[in-house]
Amino acid sequence: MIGLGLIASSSEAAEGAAETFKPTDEFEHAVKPISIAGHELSFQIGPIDMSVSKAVVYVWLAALIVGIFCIAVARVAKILPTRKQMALEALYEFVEDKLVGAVMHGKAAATWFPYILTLFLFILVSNLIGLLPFFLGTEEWKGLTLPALGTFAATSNINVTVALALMTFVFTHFAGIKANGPIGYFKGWVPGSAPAVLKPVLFLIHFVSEIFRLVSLAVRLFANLLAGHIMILVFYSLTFMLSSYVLLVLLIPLEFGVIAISLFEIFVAVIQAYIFAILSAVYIGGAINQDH
Amino acid sequence: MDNKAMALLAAGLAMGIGALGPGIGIGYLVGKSVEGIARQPEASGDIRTTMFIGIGVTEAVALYALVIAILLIFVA
Repeated sequence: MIGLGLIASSSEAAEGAAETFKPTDEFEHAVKPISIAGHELSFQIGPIDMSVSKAVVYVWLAALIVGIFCIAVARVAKILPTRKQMALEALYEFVEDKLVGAVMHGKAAATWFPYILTLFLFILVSNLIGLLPFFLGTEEWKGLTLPALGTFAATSNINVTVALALMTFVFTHFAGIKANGPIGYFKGWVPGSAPAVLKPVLFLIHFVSEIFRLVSLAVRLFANLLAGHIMILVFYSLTFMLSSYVLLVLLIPLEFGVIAISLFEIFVAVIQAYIFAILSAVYIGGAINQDH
Repeated sequence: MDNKAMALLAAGLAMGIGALGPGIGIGYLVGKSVEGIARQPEASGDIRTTMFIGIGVTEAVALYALVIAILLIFVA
């Protein structure tokens, strides 16, 4: 998200230049097409913008890491597991028992387990690679063009999280209709014991709550990651704001603040992947077994 | 005060007041979960899972406030 990195801020501090940094620009940078060797990767298919932006690259990266790691481990799976296989098996079992097993059983679990596991691994990896600094931009410094370190998470872009939440939204209703039939599924939205007069009202309320499930699923992930990256950036910039040597004493506690926030963000990255996956499982499970 | 100043003030208020409710909510949630785990340590796994789901849902309210605050700062 925040493309301003260590080098960028330190060179600015060294210059003492009044170069204005506008955080708002970063929202545009996230969806702006990236350019490789002077060529802007901007594509347009009909009305849809298919440009390769920073978020797209990070989504590809996360998908590649998950795909290659899982295939590489699964191809050489042994009875006596290696360390990588142990790690993947632990994640697999965790998702199977704790996430899917808690809400679905039998055939439904077998159908939806791959989706939940993919969702969990993808969000986990894209949250975690979002914490690693990469050379995301360039910085002009004394006539030189230097690469600038920055961090960006695909999941801190609302377009990505809305796409993920939409998948869960569509699969929820698809699974519900497939399991209960179209009439049975929408009948299940209102309790059968409710008075006939109230039924349309209850149906409307349930409809609104379904929409808000979609919104909250997307916004929760996006806002958590965005807030995390902003917090890390704020603590980093606090260390660079100290222009007086007397105040350098403050640098040590502030550096600890950066470390503490970064560690907390690792925790948040894992927890958010877990929450997204388990809520998807709960929603899909609830649509299949409507008698709650 | 011009519009920008009002927007910045509103953003601060939105975040502060918006964090009050979820703060109280998560406090209750975790407190009760700890009580539950202390009473029944063998059910700690299930309680912890439910607690995290609850925290995730409660926390979303504060994050709506954050989104509103960001909109106020950058768009207004």
